[in-house]
Amino acid sequence: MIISVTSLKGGVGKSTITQNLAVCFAQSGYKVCIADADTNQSALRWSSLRDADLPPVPAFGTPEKTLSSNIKQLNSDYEIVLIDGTPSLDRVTSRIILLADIVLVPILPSGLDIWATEQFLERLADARAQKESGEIPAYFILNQFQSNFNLNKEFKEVLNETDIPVLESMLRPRVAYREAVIKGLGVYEFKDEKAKSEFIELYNEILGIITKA
Amino acid sequence: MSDKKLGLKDTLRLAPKIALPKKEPNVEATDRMVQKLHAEEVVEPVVVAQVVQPIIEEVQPINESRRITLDVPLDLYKQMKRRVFDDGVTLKKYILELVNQDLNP
Repeated sequence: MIISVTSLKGGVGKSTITQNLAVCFAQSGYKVCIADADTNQSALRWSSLRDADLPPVPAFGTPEKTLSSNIKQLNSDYEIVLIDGTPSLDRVTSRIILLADIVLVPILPSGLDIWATEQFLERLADARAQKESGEIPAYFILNQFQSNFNLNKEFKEVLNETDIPVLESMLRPRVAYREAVIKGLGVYEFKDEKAKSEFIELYNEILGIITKA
Repeated sequence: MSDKKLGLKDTLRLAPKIALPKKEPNVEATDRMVQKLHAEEVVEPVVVAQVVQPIIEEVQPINESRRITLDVPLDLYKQMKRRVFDDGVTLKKYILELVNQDLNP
């Protein structure tokens, strides 16, 4: 199962969500790895910080030229391959979309994110048109979302008008995500119960979707 | 009724492991699709003013157009987005008008 976490915009939480999902899969007993296509290679560093007693989440750097073959190999070795995408419209992003069994698109509640999303939707539509099956399931993940803000409510309404469903579970702005990452942990393994709880909800929702795929 | 939460969320646990569907990615097909998607792409990152040639092909023949994909520096991109938002026009219309004005003053 190949899960791509991608977006055309930087700083939306791709790496954080990838790492935390990987932790949940690993804690559930799945053999999981991260293919780090992001130029900053943060997943590699994060993975190297993980305690040896924790379920392993190896991360591999994947240059664009060998991305497809690397992912194919990883997919044969692991039950779950999470691809940490890079914020660009380059070929690497097209590859990341086309290789995926499911695409997850983190998005922050801001005008800039919505604008960047227009381009992503266009690229996704192009990729779907190329794929014989025409199927590349994609879902938005609302990150750093506070549902009590009027702007955010409107933001969600705008997203709901696109042809990409928005996951019910959403992530709030929490320090725990930043603190856990520097210890090589996911929030599931961290002390903040609210962060843990919201991420379990997200993981369970995603697992429900991919088991039906 | 009390507003006190009962802690339902605290009872949440990771869903149990179940077998997942596994498909082998087709590397060759993926490469072909990527090739097609980027066939008309301007390879080097350029600013708007430097892409007049591909765009003019889109403007002049009324019933024919070419799609290009363009990497724009983030700051410039943000400025463009603000401008088109303020002006109430699409990004496409804005760029095409700029190019048209430059080439056909």
